[in-house]
Amino acid sequence: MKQQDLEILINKCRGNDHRAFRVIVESYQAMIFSLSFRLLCNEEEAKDTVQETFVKVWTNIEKYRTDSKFSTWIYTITTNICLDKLKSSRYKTSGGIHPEIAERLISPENIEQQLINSDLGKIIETLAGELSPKQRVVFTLHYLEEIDIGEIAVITGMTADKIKSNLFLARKTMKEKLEKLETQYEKYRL
Amino acid sequence: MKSTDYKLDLLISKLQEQTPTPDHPMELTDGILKRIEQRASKQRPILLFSIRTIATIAASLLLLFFLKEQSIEAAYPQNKHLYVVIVKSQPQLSQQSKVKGYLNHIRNNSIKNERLKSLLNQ
Repeated sequence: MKQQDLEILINKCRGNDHRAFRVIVESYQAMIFSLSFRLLCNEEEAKDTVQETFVKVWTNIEKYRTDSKFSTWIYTITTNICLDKLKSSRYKTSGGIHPEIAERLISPENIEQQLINSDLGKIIETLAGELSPKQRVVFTLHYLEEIDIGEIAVITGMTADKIKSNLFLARKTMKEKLEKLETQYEKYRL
Repeated sequence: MKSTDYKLDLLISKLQEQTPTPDHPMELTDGILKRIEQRASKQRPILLFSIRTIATIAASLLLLFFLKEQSIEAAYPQNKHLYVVIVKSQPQLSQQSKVKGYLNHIRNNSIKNERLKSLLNQ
């Protein structure tokens, strides 16, 4: 969506125009769902996050300054909601790994072109489950959503150095996880 | 170690290709708009409540004023206006009493002076 069109829609939303807001929701919903799902690995929680995000966007639309990117502003809201959820005790990983998920992780070339959400959630959860909430957010934004470090700094409020160190630690933890899985899977196959 | 790096990069690129999408995007959009409309309708009673509160306070003040007026009328049923005149002329009355007091003071002083003169003559 062009910035000019977006600004017109935002001004309409400020005037309590629900139709204009529907257009914004339809344009950004997929993006928000994708980030929420990749972070929380649960479809229902991702849908709740999408709803919470847009309610916050609607109630705080007056605070949005048009000199910054709208997508960055929405990403910030979503990230904060997800971060709170990841920090809460409900989001502790179960630790159990399905053999078919382990097989996909060890042999990524065998991953299908179109995975169903639940399988994709299990793969991400197994791979990133041992990361801290901040590492997980930074990993998801950088590697999966392909957002550059400068924008991640704006979204998360972290410094570039902090982001880089979190990415390094996230990669290290995930590599260790893959190695551990390979050893376990070899035993399982034998 | 290198193979793990390669596997991780391949895994990440495979996960990038997989974009999760909601099952029923239209339902999700409708749900969001519904929540926003519910919020708007929840805000109306607050406005209604504030209007009611202001109206109640105004009515109470008017009632108090009316009761005060009634009590004055009950105390001075025939000469309500006279009472008002008396109340209004209170400062004048107080001034008159001050003048009276001053005149008494002068009179007393003149008596004292007379006594002093007679004493001096003696």
